[in-house]
Amino acid sequence: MDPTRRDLLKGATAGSGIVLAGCLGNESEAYPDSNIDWLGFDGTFFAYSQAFSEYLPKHLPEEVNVVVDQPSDWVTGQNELYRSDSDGHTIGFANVPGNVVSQVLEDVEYDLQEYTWLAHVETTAYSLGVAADSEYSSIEDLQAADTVQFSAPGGSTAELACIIAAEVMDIDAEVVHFGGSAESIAAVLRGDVDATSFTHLTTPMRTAVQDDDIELLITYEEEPPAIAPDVTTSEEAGYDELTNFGLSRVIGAPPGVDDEVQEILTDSLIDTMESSEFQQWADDEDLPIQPADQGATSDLIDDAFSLVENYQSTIEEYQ
Amino acid sequence: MLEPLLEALAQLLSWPSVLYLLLGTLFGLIFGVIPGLGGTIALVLLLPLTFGMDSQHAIVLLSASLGGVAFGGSISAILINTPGTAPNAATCLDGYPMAKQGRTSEALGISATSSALGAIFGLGVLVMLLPFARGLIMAFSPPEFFWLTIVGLAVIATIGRGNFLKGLISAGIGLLVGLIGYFGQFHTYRFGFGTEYFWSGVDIVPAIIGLFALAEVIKQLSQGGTISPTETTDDLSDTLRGVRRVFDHPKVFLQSSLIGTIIGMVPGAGGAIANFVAYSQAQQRSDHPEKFGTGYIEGVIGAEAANDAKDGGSLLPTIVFGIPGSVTMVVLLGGFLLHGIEPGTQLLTEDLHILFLLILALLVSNILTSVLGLTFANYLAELTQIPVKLFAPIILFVSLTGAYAINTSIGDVLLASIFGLIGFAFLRFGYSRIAMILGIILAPIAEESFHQTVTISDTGLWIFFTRPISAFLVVILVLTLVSAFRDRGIDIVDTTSAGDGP
Repeated sequence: MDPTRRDLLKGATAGSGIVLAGCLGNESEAYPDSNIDWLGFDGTFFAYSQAFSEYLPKHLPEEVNVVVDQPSDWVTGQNELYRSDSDGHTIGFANVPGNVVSQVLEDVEYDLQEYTWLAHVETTAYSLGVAADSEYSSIEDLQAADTVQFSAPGGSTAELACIIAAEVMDIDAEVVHFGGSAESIAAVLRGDVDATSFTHLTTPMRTAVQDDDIELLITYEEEPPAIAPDVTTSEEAGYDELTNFGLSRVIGAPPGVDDEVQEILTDSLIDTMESSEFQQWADDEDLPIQPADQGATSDLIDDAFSLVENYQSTIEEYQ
Repeated sequence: MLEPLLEALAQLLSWPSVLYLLLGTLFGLIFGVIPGLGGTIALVLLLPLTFGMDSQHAIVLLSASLGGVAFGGSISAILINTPGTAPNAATCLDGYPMAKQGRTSEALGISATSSALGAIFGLGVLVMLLPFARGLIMAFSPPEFFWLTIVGLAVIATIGRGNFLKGLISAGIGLLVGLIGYFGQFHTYRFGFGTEYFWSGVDIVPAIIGLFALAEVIKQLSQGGTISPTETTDDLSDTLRGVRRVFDHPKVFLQSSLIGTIIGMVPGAGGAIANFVAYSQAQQRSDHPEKFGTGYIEGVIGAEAANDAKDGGSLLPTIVFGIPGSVTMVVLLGGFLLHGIEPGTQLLTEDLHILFLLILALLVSNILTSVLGLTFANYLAELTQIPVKLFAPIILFVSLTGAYAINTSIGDVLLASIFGLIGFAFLRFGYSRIAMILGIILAPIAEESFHQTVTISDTGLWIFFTRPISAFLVVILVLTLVSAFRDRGIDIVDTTSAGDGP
């Protein structure tokens, strides 16, 4: 019997379904099927990005390159990442809690709570420093001062660090905004302002501390950094709330990335960070690596939102 | 000090350092010539290539590319009135009129020689000042930044051949454009037209490409003919005459190089300010200030000597404090760190040979670039004889590609096109494109430093006048304005003269 039109339609539908399923299956298996764009930003983020660009391809299931793109600023970059296709071919860094602060306080498009979080690279806590020849030589001196001027880039994690530290340690503070970390630290060295807060990985901060131009009065790290082994930790000083307050480098992708692709990316990123050559690179550069998976990264983001929302009114008072 | 110097020299002359030196120089030269690319993009593109390299080879490659950029940028400024990089903008003022007069080789000879000698001067000063760097760099605080930008603004309204009022209007428009974007002082995003595109402000590179290259293309196409109406008969003697011109004007050269080096040292001040302040000072101290803007040799010497000398100056805060003196230095510093080279005491003591390697590579690449420029000056001069209808599409393509390449953004191409139309309107009605571009550059620095000064001051607004360097800059400002009024007199509202010159 000749097939009817309905039979033909049924057959075509079934065939299409099989082909479609096959295609989808292949897409998942073949991931990644083109280069991965990596939004890398500047400074130490750029150094890490270059390292991932070099070593991550060796840990991906398919042979592709990781191409680092450098957006002009954090907000533009995060908006770009947020809007990108969720096919796993665009990933990038987020700066936490700096990007969280921008999201909560500014009118930005991106929403970090919708991101697909892939991995945590490292978190380094902040330290508070003054010029070596400053009139202030302890936290008590800062607390006793009428007003302590801090330098920090506007809307940055460093600014948040100054504000929260002043609040927790009861310092009457004022934040003077400078263009970036280099300008902020230069302002302390010149004596334009009294103090600043950055991680010890920030190049001008590290240089200034190593050269005895800046004295760290307190660090929020659990252990003092190697460049200032005698500095008091916030835990020792009784300000536990500040302990581990720092800048986290986490890797995310746009919202809605397929579970299977997420898993491939997270595994590849963790494998890369745990590989001996990446560890060797980090040792050579004196940069920390603390790999953590999606769950830990998502928790860190939630904590950052809680922190910023907790201090939102204080932050707004400083603006 | 001699031992690390010799070690660096041996390293530079060894294989494959020599190869990297040549490659870097050529790469920098090309990136300098093409409007919109420049030193920062050259370094950003080279950095990943150095990843697996030996650190010393990487330093040679990066430094050499930086050395090639500055002179490269003056070639396009002279040939097509488009600065290859922002700090070459003042070179257009007299370099391009020289090309139009059929004196391209002479202009390139002056530019190549001033560039090479300016770089040698800047790097020489860098080495001499290393022990005293701290005091010099730390002398500039927000009040001094503020006055430096105001002096720069005064300069732009008074230089060139445009009338004073139109210069001020052009600078004012530039200032308004420069205020677009996120302002960290007040956590405010201003004048963004409902888009995120302007979050970090108006990118200066598409603005320059539009105002200069695209506007020039539109103008040339509407006029037809060739860039230089005079048939060029340039030969080697013209180029060598250009070389001699620099030695005939040692005062202009030394003064401009010194200004370039000092302003280069100030983090955040930028090469464009050095370029214009040096040009302005050369004009004010010249026996023939009225000739500036008409294709006068002292104008090219002043602008180019300062432009190359500033690199030595901006290296100083970068290597001493790890505080980059310019955006290009930010990327170079990133390159240092990528290769485990720490600025500060370590670079000045244990790693002194690396510092000397960097300085020598910069020095040699500057000289190499200038030698290349002198060698090919006559051939480059021929470009001004090509019919505009053939030349313009190439400039258009290269310029728009340059605009796209910065951030791989089609928005930058659109922005460059809009500035192209604005630039053409400025040309047509005699407003100053140079004043506008410097207004865009200086606006954020002036505004930020004003707010910082007011915040840190214990004496209210007196802080602007009571600090020695601030007071000195105020005196310079007053002298600049007085001499401009004295020299130009009734030209303040003269509407017959053109904005940027011929």
